[in-house]
Parts: sequence; structure tokens; C-alpha cells
Amino acid sequence: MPMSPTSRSVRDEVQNFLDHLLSADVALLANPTVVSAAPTHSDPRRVAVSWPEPDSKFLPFRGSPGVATYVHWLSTSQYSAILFDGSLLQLTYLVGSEGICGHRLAYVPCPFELDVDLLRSEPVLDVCDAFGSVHTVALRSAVHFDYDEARSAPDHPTVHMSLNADSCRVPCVAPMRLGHFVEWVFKHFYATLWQSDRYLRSLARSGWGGPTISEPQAQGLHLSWAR
Amino acid sequence: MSLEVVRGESRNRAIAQALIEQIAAVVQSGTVYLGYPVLASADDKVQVDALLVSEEHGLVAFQYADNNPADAADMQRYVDQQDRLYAVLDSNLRRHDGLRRGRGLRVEINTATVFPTAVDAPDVADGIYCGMAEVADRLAVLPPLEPDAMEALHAALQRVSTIKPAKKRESVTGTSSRGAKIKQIEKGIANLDAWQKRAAIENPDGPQRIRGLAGSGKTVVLALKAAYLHSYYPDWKIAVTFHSRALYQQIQDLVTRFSFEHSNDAPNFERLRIMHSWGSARRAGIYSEIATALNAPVRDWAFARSAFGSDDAFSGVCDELLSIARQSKVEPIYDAVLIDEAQDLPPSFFKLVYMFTKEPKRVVWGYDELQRLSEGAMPTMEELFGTNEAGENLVSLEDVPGEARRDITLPVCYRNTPWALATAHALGFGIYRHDGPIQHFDDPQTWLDIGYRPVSGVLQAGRSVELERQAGSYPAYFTELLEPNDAVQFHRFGNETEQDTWLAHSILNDLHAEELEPDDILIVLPNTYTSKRRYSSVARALHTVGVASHLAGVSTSLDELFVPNSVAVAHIFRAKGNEAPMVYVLDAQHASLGPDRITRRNTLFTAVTRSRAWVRICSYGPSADEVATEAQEIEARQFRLAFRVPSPAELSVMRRLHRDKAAGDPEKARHAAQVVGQLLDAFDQGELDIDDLPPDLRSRLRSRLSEADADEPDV
Repeated sequence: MPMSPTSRSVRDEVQNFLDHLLSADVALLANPTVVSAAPTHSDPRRVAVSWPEPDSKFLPFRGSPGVATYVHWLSTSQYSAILFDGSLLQLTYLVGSEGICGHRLAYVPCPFELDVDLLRSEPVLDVCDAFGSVHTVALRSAVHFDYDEARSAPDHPTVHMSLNADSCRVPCVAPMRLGHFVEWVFKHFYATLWQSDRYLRSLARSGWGGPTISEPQAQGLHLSWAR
Repeated sequence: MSLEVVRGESRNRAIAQALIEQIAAVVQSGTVYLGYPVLASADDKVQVDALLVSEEHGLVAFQYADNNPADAADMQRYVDQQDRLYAVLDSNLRRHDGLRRGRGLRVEINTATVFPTAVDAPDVADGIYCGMAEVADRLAVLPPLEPDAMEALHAALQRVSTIKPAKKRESVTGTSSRGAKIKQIEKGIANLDAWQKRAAIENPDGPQRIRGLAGSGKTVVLALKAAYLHSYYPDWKIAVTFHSRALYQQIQDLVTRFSFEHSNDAPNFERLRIMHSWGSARRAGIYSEIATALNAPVRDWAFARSAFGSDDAFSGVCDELLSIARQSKVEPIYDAVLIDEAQDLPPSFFKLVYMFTKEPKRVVWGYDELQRLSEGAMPTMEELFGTNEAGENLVSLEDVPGEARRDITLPVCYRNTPWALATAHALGFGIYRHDGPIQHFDDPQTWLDIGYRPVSGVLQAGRSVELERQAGSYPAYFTELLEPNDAVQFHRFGNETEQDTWLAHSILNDLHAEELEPDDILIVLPNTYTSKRRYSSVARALHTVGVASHLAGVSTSLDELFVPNSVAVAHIFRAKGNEAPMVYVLDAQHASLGPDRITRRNTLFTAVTRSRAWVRICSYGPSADEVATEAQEIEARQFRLAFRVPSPAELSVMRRLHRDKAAGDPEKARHAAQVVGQLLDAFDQGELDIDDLPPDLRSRLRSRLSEADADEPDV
């Protein structure tokens, strides 16, 4: 994979991954991965690789995502895939004339522990309505890996991981390839699946961009991986 | 021809009967509507106690007066009322092109106020003012209608322009495109037929049943009936209830529009309540409201599923509540309850509704005749409502002469073309299945009840017969506008990708060359369990050709099925109760897989009958052989059904063989079936030989197959 992937290759990589999730019954449903125009003043050829009609903002309102956010995303199809347990994957890459120039890779756990069989056959929110309660609620935060050069600042690392709060931005060494994100999600949250699914482990993890972390950020707590 | 009486709500039955006798003396053929139409001026409702439509004496609207006028001022009141009636009728009729001539009307509007005894007509007033005994004489001098005005008048009275919000279809420019044809069909659907009108207006003092095939207009009739009763009795507590949550929006919409059409006002939803049969934490339903009234625990789905199993969840909670109700003092809640999709609701629900409806127990239920294709499954009146202490049925549907009908059948199927319906029956029953049908009616005469006629042979057990849809069981616009081999098509593919790719290009053609709109198209997936996954690949194929789509019911069951600018995809339970001009049934080979054959065939039946004009039945892979072969036979026989009517003994064997076997663990059974499928694929592709299997496995397999062969009847 070249250091500067094309939008087509990025789209294919994402789509192939989603197709695998479907065929392996890991995903209940996956939206098509599409390439749409996302021009800027400085890069009129920039495109977004994402699900059809993504919200322009990650969060439609201020604050950390909660149950209401999950309901909103589900109701408005703001996801790349719904996993078998009701969790969401949101995969968006921005590709400019120089290659990958942005991403938001999010894992949104389902707020409740739900019957996976019911999730397969019934509407997800109906199952949440019927079985979601204080006894089934799962205190889990959404996790997302963002790459945004335009907002880069000392307290806003170019590539960072967020969880629990807006202010949480753990610096990351470089833009994240899909394979690294998949490893993060499945190795840590679906360990058995990770061990048994060779395809997930085989996804390419060579870099999609050079290091973006600053020296001060690299001196502190940060996430790094071989590229 | 004779004088027909449609018995709507009547302020005074005795007066109504007397009026009918007067009319019958001078009118040989026509229709008298009692308590219809319900009209309103800009300010108020206008009373129409009776409306006569006859060729002999035209249109006459009657108002009853309870007493003769005491003085001139009293008489003036009656004059004002009659003038208001005339004005509203005039305004109403002028909306219809067929009744206008220039700036006037082709039909003279006669109005009459009928007093108990003879009166002096007011000095300056139009219209008839007379005693009951004079009505016949006054009618006799009224001129006849113009020769072809009768049809236009009936169409105007039967027209409910708000049944469907007519799509403008501005993009339709062709005259022979599918878009042009469906535009014509939608215009035709706007008219209720005489059966539907009668069913909507006639309300006996007691229970009433409305039967008909899917697509015969029952939901529309029930909504119209609810709006009609509400406008007549605004203080009544009326509930309209149903099984599928998806109907909520549709029924609310219809009731609202009908109310505006008749009363110039929105319904009062505090009194006219649209309620799901169960209810939820967010919204009361009939069950939850009754449970609350009894101070009994309101069981939710989670509890019910755990206590009674998924399949019996609702019947379980209703049974439980009924036991409580029978031990309690019951205060009825409702003045009238209208139940749609009755075939999907348990008998204990009906018993509860009956208990909680005030005398004279106005419970109206509509059900799809034979939606489940097994007539024997429909409960009797005794099973539905129970018996009294003397052992007599609480509910009888026998008509009482001179009263509104209690049992109405809607014989015309408006939704489906005759070819789609015949195809659905052929596939649903397995008429042309190689090993013979898998289900059949208990009584062969039922075929006639649902609109078939024998073309040859004899419709008797043990005899061969060939049936076709009879003219009159479907509206004429189907044969005028559509061709059978365009209305129903079968397509077979090598694999799923091929099917989905073809689907995408076919839909592209529908949207461009054929001028249909995205929300005219419905894709039905027969397998609920895999529908989300299947949708993903369908969506991708559609997206590749630039067509947007959505899967209804991903997030909630209250999702609207049809969304502008997007093709709807739905699994069979979500599609039920809905319809679309163009329907694609995917993965039809699903009907041939698995042990639950009857359910799968019923699913195929339901899927095909979602189509309003065109249906494409698609299958793929080796397991498509069965459906594909049956499809060829259906086409070769030009949508006629030729079969040997099973004898009672054969029917019994059929039921035993093809009964839906309740697997202890459906997921386990499904997984096992998949594994067997993989095994067979391995055999087919040469990856495995049967001799590769361990000997004990080989002999168990052979033994099991031999047992299955022995079970098959010699049909």
C-alpha cells in the first residue's frame, strides 16, 4: 500500500473490511462505503470516504456522547456498521491530493447488554426499549481516533484518541490505518473474536502517513505503533 | 334492481323505517343512505338523516323534524336548516367534474324536511316541507335524473378523495410508462365501492365482522367507520387498534383526513384513540389500558417473552389478564372498538375487548381472509368471544332484517392484480410443487368465496379442477392498463451477487425509463433473521448505480416504511400491511429451505401480495429449482390454478407432513441446516465424497433419509 493511498483504495479497504464483518456475522448491517466531495479552499479535490450522508459534525451537540447520541446515530444511519452486539463503527477518511489528510475512526459501544439473537431479528432500539434498564446498562464510553491537521495545536494533537470527555485527547504518533483501528477495537473488546478471526489480524497496518506527533507530545503519555 | 338501504347511524329508527316505506312506494330502484353523508359547513355540522339516489326521482336529502313547528319562528329554524343542507350539498357536489355543467350542476338537489304530520309550507322557502304520510306523493312528482348522471352521482358520493394522498407525479411525461399507469390506477383507487361504503357506514347495535382478502380495503373501511362514528358521536370513547405498530401512522393519517373530508375538522384524539393492541412504556395500548383499569401489572415484552416465549408473548399476557378480569368488577371503558388485523390477535384479547366495551358491545373487527392460507386456523365466534352461562355464544353474526349488517365481506381485491394474486396462491399452496401442495382449504368452496371461478373440472374433494380469478373480483383498471406477463415476472440467477446486480439495474430502469419514483418501490426480504446482513449487500448494489435505499425497522418498528427519494427494503414482517406499485421479492428460494415449509410458503404469499401493479419474484442458486419450476408452470398456465382437490384424508396427511415443526432451539436448527448445506456443497464441488464420512455417520444419514422417504405420501 503506497504512503499516499488513493480514495479508491481507501474505500476498497474499508469496504472489504465491512464485507468481511457481514460474512462472518460479526456485523448485523453495514452501510455502503462511498466517496463524496469534501473540498476545501486549499484542496478542492479533497474527498471523504465514509457512509452515505454523514453528519457534518461528529457530535451533533456539545458534550460527550451518551445514550441519546447512540439513539440519534442509529436512527439516522450515522454509522459504517452495526456490530452483532449493537455497537457501532464509524469510519471516515479524508483523502486529499497528498493522500490521507484526516480521519475519524469511532467505536461506539451499545449502551446496554442485549440479547444478540434478538438484535439480529428485531429493530435495535426496540430491543433497547424492551431490555434497556439500570440492570442491563453497560458503562462504556465511545472511543474515537481523530486526525485533523487544521485544528492541530499544542493541546490538540494532530492525531489523538478521545474517550469519556471532549477534553481527553491522547496524542497518537501518526494517522491511523484501518488495520490498527481494527486491532484496537477487536483485540481489546472482542478478544475471542480477535483470536479466531485471521482476516482481522491480517489487515494491513503499514502507515498511511508520516509521524505527526510533536516532540513535547512524544515526551508525555501517547500512543505509538510500528509503521 | 331494487331499493337498497344502507343503514348508517339513525337518530330515530322508527322514523327511518317509516321513511323507507314511503320511498319504496314510489321508487323501484335506487339507494337510500341513512345517516349519510356526514357534512359540515364552515361553521358547523349539517344533519343529513337520509339521502335518496334514484334514477326515477333524482337526489333527495331528508331531515327529520321531531315535532311540527309551533309557530313561524320555529318553522324558520327548519327553513334555515334545510337551506344550510342545500348549500353544503351543492358545494360538495360541485367539486366533481362529472356533475358540473357550465357553472351549474347536472343534478338537481332536492331537500325535504319531514314532520310527524302535515304542515303548511313556509311562504318563502325552497324545498319540501311535509308530513311523513305525504313523502311518497311529494317524491312522485320529482323529475328523473339525466340518463348518465346516476353513475357520476354515485361516484361523487362514493368518492373519498383522501384515501390516498395522490402523488402529483409531475415527472411523468410518457403515456405508457409505469409511472403513467400507476397514476391512472391511483385515481381509480380513490373511489370506494358499494361494499366498502356499506361496510363503513353500517353499524349494528352490536359486534360486526368485516372480512376480505388482503388489499380489499379493510383498513380504509375501518378508518372511515371510526371517523364516521366519531363525527356522529363526538363524546364517544372510540378505540381503533391493530397488531402491527407500523399501522399506527397509516390509520392516524386516514382517520384525520376522513374527518377533515366530512367534518371540516380534525378528530379529537382524546376521544377517538388510535392504540396499539399491547402498548408500551411510552404509549398506552388496549392491553395496557385494561390492565391499568384492573390495577393489574402491565407486562412488557421482555417479561412476556421470558414467561411465555416469543411466539406466545402477547397471548400469554392477555390470557393472564383475562383471568384477572374474570375475577374482578369490570367497568367498561369504550363505546366502540375497531380492530384491524384481527387474524394476528389472540382470542383472549377479543374477550377482554368485549368485556370492556359498553353495551351494546360495538366491537368491529376486520381480518384478512386467508392471510395465513389455512382456513382451519381462524377461531370460531365461541373461541373469540366465549359463551354465556347458558352456553350460548356471546356474539352472533346473524343479520337481523331491517338492521345494519353484522357480517360483511369485501369481495374485490384492489391491491393486487389478478395475476399476482393467483401467483401468490399458487406459490403459497405449492399448487405446482413437484411433490404436491403443502396446504389447502378445509372447504374447497372457499376458492369461490375469495373470487375464483372454475374454468374446467369440478371443485370437489378428490376431483381435478382448473380455476382463474373471476372478473368482478378485481377492478377493471388492471386489465385495461397492465399486461399479465409484465405484472408478474420470475427471475432466476446463479448466485446472490448476480441477483442483486440485476435488481439494481432493473430499479434504475424503473426510475428513469419507466418514470416511477423511489418510494414506489419495495424490496422484500423473506428471511427476518438475515435481513440486516442482506440489506447491506443490496444497498451496496443499489448505491453502485446511484440509487439510495434504506432498511425499514433497523432502528425502530415505528420507522416509516416509505421515505421520499429512497427505495424501501423490508423484511416480511415489516412489509406486512404495506404495498407498493413495484415489488421485488428477493431470495424466493427461501420458501424451499428449512423444516417450516408452511410458514415459508405463507411468507412468499405475503411478499407477492405487497404489489399494487408489478411484482418480480427473484431466486438464485440450486435451491431455487423448486420455486423456479413452479413459476414456469404458473406462466405456462397463464395464471390459472390446476390441481386435484385433496380429500379430507389427504388433507390430514398433508397437514401432518408439512406442519411447522417447533424446533426446541430455532437458532440451533438454523445452524444445523447451514452445516448440512455446506456439507452438500462440498459433495457437489467434489471437495468431499460420501465415503469420506465415518461409517457410523454414513449409516445414520442413510437411515434418516430412508425414514423420510417412507413418510412421503403416494400423492
